[in-house]
Amino acid sequence: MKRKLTMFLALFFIGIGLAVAQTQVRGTVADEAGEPVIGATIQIKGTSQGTVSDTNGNFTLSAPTGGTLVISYVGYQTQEVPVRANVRVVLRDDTEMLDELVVTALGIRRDRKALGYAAQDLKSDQLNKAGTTSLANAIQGKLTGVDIRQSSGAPGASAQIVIRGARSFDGNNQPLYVVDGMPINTSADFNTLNSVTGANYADRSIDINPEDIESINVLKGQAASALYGIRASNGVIVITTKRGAGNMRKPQVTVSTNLSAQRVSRKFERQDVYAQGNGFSAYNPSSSMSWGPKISDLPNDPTYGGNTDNDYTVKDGKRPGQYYNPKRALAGLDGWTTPQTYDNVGDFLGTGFTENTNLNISQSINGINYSFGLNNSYQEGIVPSTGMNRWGARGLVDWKIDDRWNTGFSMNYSSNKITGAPGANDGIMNVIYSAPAEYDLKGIPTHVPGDITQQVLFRSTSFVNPYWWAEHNEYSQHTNRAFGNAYVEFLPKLNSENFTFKFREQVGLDIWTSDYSDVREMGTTPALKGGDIENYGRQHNVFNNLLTANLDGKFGADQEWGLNIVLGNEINHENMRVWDYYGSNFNFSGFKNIGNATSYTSSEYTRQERTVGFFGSASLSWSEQLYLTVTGRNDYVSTMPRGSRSFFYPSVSLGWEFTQLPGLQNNGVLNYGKLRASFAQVGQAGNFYNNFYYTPTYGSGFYTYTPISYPLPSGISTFIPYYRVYDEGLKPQNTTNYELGTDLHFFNSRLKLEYTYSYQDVKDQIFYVPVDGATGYQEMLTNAGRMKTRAHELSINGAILQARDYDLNLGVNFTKMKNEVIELAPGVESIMLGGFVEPQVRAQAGTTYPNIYGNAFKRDEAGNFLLLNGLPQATGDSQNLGEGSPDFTTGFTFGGRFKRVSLATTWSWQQGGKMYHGTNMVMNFFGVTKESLPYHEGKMVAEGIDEATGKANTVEVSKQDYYQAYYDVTESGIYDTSFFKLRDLTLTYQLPKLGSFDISVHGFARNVLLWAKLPNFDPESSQGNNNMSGYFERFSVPNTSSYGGGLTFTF
Amino acid sequence: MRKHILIILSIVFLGLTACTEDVLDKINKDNQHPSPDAVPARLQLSEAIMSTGFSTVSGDYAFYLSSLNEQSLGMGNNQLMRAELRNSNEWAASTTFNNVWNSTYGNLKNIREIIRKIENDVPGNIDQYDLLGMAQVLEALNFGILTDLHGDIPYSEALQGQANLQPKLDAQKDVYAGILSTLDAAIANFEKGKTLKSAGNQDIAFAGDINQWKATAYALKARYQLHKLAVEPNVLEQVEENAQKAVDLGFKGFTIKEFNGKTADNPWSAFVFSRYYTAPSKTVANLMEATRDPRLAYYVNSKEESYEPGNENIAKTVDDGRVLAFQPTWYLLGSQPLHLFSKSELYFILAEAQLRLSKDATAAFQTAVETSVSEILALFEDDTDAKDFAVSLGAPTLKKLFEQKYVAQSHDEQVETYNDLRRLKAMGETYVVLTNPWNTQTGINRYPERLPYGNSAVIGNPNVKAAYGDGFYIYTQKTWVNDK
Repeated sequence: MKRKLTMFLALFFIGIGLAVAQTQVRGTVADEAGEPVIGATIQIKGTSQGTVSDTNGNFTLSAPTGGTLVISYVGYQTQEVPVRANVRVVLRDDTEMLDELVVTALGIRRDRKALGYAAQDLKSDQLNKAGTTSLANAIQGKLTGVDIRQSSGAPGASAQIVIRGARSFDGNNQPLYVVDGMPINTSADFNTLNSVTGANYADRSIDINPEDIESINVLKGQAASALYGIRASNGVIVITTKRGAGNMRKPQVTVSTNLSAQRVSRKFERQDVYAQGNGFSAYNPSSSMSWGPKISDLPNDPTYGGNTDNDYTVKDGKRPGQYYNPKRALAGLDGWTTPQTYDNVGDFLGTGFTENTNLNISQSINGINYSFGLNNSYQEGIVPSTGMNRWGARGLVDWKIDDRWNTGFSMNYSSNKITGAPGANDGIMNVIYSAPAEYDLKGIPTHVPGDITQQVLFRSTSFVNPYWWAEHNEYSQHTNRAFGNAYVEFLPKLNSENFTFKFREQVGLDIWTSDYSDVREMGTTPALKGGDIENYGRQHNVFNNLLTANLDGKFGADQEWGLNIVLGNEINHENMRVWDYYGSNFNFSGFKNIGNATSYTSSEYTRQERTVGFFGSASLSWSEQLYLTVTGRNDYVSTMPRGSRSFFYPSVSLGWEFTQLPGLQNNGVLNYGKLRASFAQVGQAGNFYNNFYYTPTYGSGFYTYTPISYPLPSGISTFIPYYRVYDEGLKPQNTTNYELGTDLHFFNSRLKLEYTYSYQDVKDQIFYVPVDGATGYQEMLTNAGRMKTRAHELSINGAILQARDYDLNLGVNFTKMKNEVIELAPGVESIMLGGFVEPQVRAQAGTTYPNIYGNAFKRDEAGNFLLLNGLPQATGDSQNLGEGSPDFTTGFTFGGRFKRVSLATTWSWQQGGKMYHGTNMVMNFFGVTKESLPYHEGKMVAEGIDEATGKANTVEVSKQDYYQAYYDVTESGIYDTSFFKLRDLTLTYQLPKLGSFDISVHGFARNVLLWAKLPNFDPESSQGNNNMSGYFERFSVPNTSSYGGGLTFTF
Repeated sequence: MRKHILIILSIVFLGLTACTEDVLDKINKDNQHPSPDAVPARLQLSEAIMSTGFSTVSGDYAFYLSSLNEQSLGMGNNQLMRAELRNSNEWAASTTFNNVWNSTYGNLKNIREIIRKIENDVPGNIDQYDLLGMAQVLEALNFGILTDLHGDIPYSEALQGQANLQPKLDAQKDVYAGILSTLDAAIANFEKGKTLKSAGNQDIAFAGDINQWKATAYALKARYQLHKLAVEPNVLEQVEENAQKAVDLGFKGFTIKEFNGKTADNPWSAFVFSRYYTAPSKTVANLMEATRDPRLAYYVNSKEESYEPGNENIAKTVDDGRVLAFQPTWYLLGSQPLHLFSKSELYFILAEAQLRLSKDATAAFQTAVETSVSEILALFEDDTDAKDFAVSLGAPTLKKLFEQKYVAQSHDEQVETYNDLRRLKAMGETYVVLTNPWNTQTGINRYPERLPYGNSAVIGNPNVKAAYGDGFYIYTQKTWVNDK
């Protein structure tokens, strides 16, 4: 060891100045079109010495005779040339590279052409990083077979990333994230469950800064991910963070910053003709609805008008042209006001702000690559008081000590604070949207003068005044997290030159503590007149040990056979601590601390989980043409019952580069063609417990607070059987996957096409099967159900134009997926994923996953409405109202460069799919939408069959009654989610090199153009951070558009 | 080289020993919850009582039935508006009563576990006959409410967990027979355990007073025998006999008094504080006014108003949650005790049996009224003499009796009112006239004859699904006790 250290130090200190015979080299660097390449790096191999090419592509340097020069430039293949007096280098575009290395499972780098399955990767410059803090946003629209559903535009909003459809009805369908070889937990700390109360919880992929990423490789099929074992059945996102770069002479420093402003992406435009009220005949200053008289007629209202005789004019005298609003008086203003309209939505939804700043320093020197970075992301949401602040630091070192030893580490730290806004039942957006146009929501004080616990709001329900909410309540999340790993590689000397053998031992840690606080001040709602505070959180401590042995070699007469064998062992152990402290009924307002509460409940527990895996992989190749890989892994999982803890997953994949056949070689049209096929089986475990008792709580259903809890005031506690029963015969869930595909490159790879068909059959799903309450339980964790997914993925990338000064590229990512629920448990037709008693998001046998389930219109066999009293009615039992998943999704990337200016755009097109849009439905019911305008006055005879007579309806009803009855039935709130949007547009200008500075400036716009079938709102905003996310909207925080710009310095 | 191999082998060995079944069992140990048999059965009793009162006797059944019985109006532009306007779907949907279906059976599971532990001599619970009897009383009461409201229900095959996930429906007649024999078993256990104090202070209803529990068992026997009057007219003697036994044992009423209006709210108050879906009904107020009932002041709202059942404007009105101007005053305390079986009901039952058997029922009737009135007045520290009021009503007729029972049960015994209204209809008698115009809509009945099964059963149990159909059976099919 001491010897090695000495050697390192020697290399470190004297690496530069070895005195050998020198040659003066003069050279030029040009591209294939013959144009000079400015700023290319020319380095003497094995040293830190080098230079860069000037504006004419010329360089000179002194190099050791007999040495080698390494010439590199971003976007071109690196070349090596021997040292000569005159050198002319022609750099080739690296898009032509076929021998591209891809990071596969366990960090094994393999030639792309050797893969028997689909793998799609994104490089740093392909990510849409500007103006967002979320990884999901950065990759949206860029991948096939990957469904990304973001919950909203709120800072830190959760996103669901699901690869090739769901495998679990109600469990986790999110892929495994592996950062620099270490698996990272990215599930949200808490599930939003039914997602009808409270704020969203960020998923923990938010701890990854998109700017730190060098490349992302998505292992979609199970064959690709089988080596990761049980946690990888949902696919794997392999992230490599930025490594050491630049030359030996000096470190490369990159500073980038971007600033952007956010606005609501699609602002709800409400009707501003009719005033607050339950009916056209009368103004009602405490109604939740806008079915009242015309705003312009308010002065003539018999009860509140200033032109008429009423209690108010008797007291104050006639006020021509004005009307009296008692809520204004309650807030300490003059109750009399002149009719005018306010933009309550625009007033509340302000301009958000996002700042991302990154500093990175990296170098590659004498076998040491390092990269250190600092970053900050700061966001203010469009909803007042919401925001996010993330600080991160990272460091990475790879050190090639000598021919036998390598070592290194990668560390990441982040601190992340998010303040959010609640949706659905606790929502504030409904109050904003439904605020009557004539009510000055922003201008009228939010509470009675001198008493913040007495709110003033136009309506009078359990909903809170949004401005009061922003000032007094808080939904905050704060996470501190560190993850990283250190490794040692040992390469023993082998007798054969054709074989290399490598042991790698890697130890990783992933530690985080998340603190959550939901604070509701006294007077939030009548049910919360005393206020409450809930401080809760989780602490995780994950230890991961990975040991692998890797044998690589070639053999045969012409060395036409290639062999790679990997054997390994992985231990993953997780310790968790979960706590929840709840206090209610503050002594006094203005001090929102748990110490100010007068009654308390609390819980705290620890839990451990362990997975131990043994795995092996063998790959055999022949003549760089045929590639076969067989893998196997056996996992032991602590969270399953005794006897069911062992899982084995096999996979086999085959790739054939058929263009290597003699007749197809050097074909001018098809220059590369590969066929691939794979098969894999993977499992998923459940969270098994022995049946247990618990202390129940009250507070669901009609109750908006916890009316009673244990211990009772008399001090009595209780324990009763849990409502869930665990199947002791639980066995692993099984997914079988077949995948077929082809990669074709045409016209010297200017046009590339990849197509993959995958068939996935999930059996013995582990889920909480709902059972008849009469069994004494409500659900049972067991194996049941089957789901099949067929996916077609097609990506096309074309270099339409290619020249020195300009280029134009188009990429298309098309996905068509059918995720079909074949059966659930015997006798069970559907299960609830979230929502209200009605409507819900469900998985239902015989439909695609998931679907929306609720009340439909009662119809006769011919499909006519069955009307009662002239009005539509709902069916008694809930029905399938629509399937959430779209017919297909397509992402387009289109961009080009002209000289120093480049433009990149990303577009998304989703066709079909349904969602429940509670906000549209309720705003229609409330008479708030513009669509409701023709229904405020007059009568009508609705079309349909009168249930009483069996004949065509003749009963006349008011238009308002009809409209409200119509929008009272959930089916009216089901909308097609087809949309086409411009997700991202970035314009970059690369400044000419200023001294040693490379500067580029860019401007961008995100989520700006939207064509959607859904009226009034952006379809990409919904409730929940789980499997229901994307299909169920109710007063969710809206999505945003972003506009901004930034600078990147490199020196 | 050998050294390196040794290191590697030792890491692999570590990997192997890290995953033996015993090690993984230890890792998967549940630190958060107790295992079933570790919990003494008496600790389960408190929730068995609380859940019966909070979720089953009161709770969703009572909130909806209050509107159906016209004991209050549903308002608030939401579910209870739809209930008030007899929206066909609101009443017929299996989702409406799903929560209470699940919680009642869940509570029965807890009760059965108490019984199991005692009957199977699980250590710590041996020979606790008093506790066994209490559990049986609660079982009878919970099954009684389920069958009265839903008709045929899972009974003989229910509560078996994984062993029977799709229990069959038992005929209501058989459920009734089972309930009555459970009560007999409870009475026998109270005899056996009369010197025990197994429940200790976990008995939040009677603090371990066995005689009160025994009285409750007799009172329940009387109630369920009386429910069968329309189809078994000869039950009256038994009703009178059992009611009298409960009276003789000094029955004080089966109530929960844990509420303080601050950290623990009565379920009706919690409902009103959360939703403001309730308004006083003229059907009740008119009856009170006619007798100058001292409870009227506490029944009407702060506007001193009550409304015609089915009033569309009120149903659509959203009350100001900060003022609660429309809500009946007697729900605004939060601290009022909750009836599981009131003393007044026992005396009303006794009075009805005596009346129908042509005996003098005056004492029983007046005690019933006096008890109910004095309980309400006590909530508001009103010292009006309840006895004077009861005496002022004179000797009962069936009409007077049912009017008074109806008024008395308007506070938190709506489930029994619904049972009475249907039973009287089956017997061809009408005393309290329902006026909600939406009960019949263009000639179609929209007054449910029973309540629909819970959604979990409709979805998870084909036996129930077949009986439920599209849910509209509730408007046509009467339950066995009310189908004469």
